[in-house]
Amino acid sequence: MDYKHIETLLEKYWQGATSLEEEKQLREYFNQDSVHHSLKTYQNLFRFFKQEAQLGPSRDFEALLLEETPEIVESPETPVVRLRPYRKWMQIAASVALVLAVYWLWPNDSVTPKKQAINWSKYEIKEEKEALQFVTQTLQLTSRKLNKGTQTAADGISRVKSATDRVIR
Amino acid sequence: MSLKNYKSEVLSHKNKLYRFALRIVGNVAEAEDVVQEVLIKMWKSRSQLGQFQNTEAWCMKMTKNLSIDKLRSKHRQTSTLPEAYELSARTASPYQQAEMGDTVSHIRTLMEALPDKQRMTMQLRDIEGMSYKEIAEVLDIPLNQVKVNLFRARQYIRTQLINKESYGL
Repeated sequence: MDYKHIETLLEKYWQGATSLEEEKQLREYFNQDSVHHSLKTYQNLFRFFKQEAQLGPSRDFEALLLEETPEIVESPETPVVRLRPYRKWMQIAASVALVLAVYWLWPNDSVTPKKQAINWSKYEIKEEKEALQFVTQTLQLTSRKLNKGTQTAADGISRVKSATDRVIR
Repeated sequence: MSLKNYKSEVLSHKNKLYRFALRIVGNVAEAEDVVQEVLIKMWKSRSQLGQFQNTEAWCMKMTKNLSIDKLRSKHRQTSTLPEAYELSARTASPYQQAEMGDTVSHIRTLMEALPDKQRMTMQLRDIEGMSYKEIAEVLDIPLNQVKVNLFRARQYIRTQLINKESYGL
């Protein structure tokens, strides 16, 4: 490992700015057999850290725990008793019922007869004569309904006729 | 919690708990007493362990508190130190420290000379490899304080190591 890189890491280390990974690199470097002479001063520090990390107690805590707390018994896990054993199956059944209900009640195009679109084009007036006839009938109807006498209707008819005659000519 | 789960979630951390206790109380037998007490307490409150996001941090906190209590209790009995657990043992001169030889025990002495929060922070970071966030949780201090403690601890160690070098030993 490049000692210049270690020197840089070491400066960061003293500032408390190294990451855990960088500190691991420092420990690995300084726990080698030989390090750069300019860095020898600090070798013991990182060797100390490594040694300390390996310390452990000599006392058998597990045995002592069993002595102190006799209620600890190495037994199989106590089985968990489900208070509502059918709950899972009920949930599954409810889900299936919901799916079926949606399927049955969903509108089906093949069952519901499609409404036929009205062909309005066949009612369109295409010729002037048709238009005249339409207007005449409408006015007659109007006259009858309003009870205004034939004269009103006749007046209307004659005005329309003269207009259409001019167009036809 | 079954014994099997307890072993994996609590007992598995015994070495780390031991090293941490040892760093505080400075005595092997007392450190083992602390760890035993922690393990028993954790077993007795095992039904509540599920509510902890980080069981390890909780165990470490308990170890810290019990270790400090033990130290306070010991110093109350000896009544030689004004503060229960502020072991600022910067009593050995650099010359005396250097006399201890070019070994890692010199580093142990330097670490033991640190104020307790700095010493604990350095233990948790440089030996146990914990993140700043984990250290803050265990020591119950703000994240910034973790960084300050670490900076000061490392600066002190660095200064002492350089001073040792300058004595030419």
